[in-house]
Amino acid sequence: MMSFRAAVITFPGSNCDRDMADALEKVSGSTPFRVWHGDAELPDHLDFIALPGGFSYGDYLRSGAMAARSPIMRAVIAAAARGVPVLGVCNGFQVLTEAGLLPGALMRNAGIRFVCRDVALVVENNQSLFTAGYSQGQRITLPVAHHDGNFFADEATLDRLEGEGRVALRYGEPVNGSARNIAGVLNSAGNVLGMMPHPERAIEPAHGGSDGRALFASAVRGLVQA
Amino acid sequence: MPDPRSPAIGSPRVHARERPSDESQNLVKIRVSVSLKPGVLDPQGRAIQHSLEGLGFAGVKDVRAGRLIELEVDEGVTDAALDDMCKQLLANMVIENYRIERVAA
Repeated sequence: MMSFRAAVITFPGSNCDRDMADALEKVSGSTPFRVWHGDAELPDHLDFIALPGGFSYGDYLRSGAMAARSPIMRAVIAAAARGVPVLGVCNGFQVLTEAGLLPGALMRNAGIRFVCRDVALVVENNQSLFTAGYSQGQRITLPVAHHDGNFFADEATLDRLEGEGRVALRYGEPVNGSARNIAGVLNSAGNVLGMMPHPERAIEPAHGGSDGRALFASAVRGLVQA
Repeated sequence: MPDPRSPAIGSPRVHARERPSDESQNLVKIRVSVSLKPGVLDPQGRAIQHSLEGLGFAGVKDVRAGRLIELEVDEGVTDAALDDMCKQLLANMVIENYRIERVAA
């Protein structure tokens, strides 16, 4: 059996890194590499990089701002440019926008409060590496847990994202004030996905739902076939 | 001519403050004000405004919350370098503007 070479990056204050590694291992059958933020290099020949949720660097300055400038992110940016799939969940999404790998910014929730609950989502584009396991327009349920998930970009950027099919996931209900209810966006090459909901917290019935499993399965299958 | 007591090039961990003050450059204080761009919704500012109204203060039409960052830098640090610091880290140019002021130390 082919091994799936994934890396999960841990920043000081990450708290979903073990869940992410566990989800990747359960779905792919291979144990991911665990990489520390201060490392300068990633393992060779990676199939997948995950930036987990949490509160990296205590959310100092802005959520994700410090992590985006940490040594390992230079290697992540270089890997993304080579086409390595990169998934950022929650704080990982914030890190990806702060690092410039995805457009826009994640601001304080419009309702001010931290939102921690299951939310309805719509798969807006099932043509990506990450979403191929869903059907177009499929409604799924995933948990969110964030204070800064209010996606902002200027109108021209939003129009471009919509026009290029880069809105991967949209909330099916009001959650945090995000522009056009955007929950997850892709980069222009389609190999970087940032999303606020937590697929790694919904991969088996014991989690209360398993709608997140197909996201990892899509990536694993897509890469093994490629 | 390098001062023999100053750290060798390549020893960045030695902080300027650890050297006697008469050998270091004069320090200047920089105040960086970071604010949300006009048109960007500011939920925190809105909550502050509501609280002010709740306390009975009338006439507050809008509140925008920003961030103040004070730096102490060698006087040789250029405006261009300060500008780069803001663009690369202190402000998020997608949502924020910044203003740099040199203030009396």
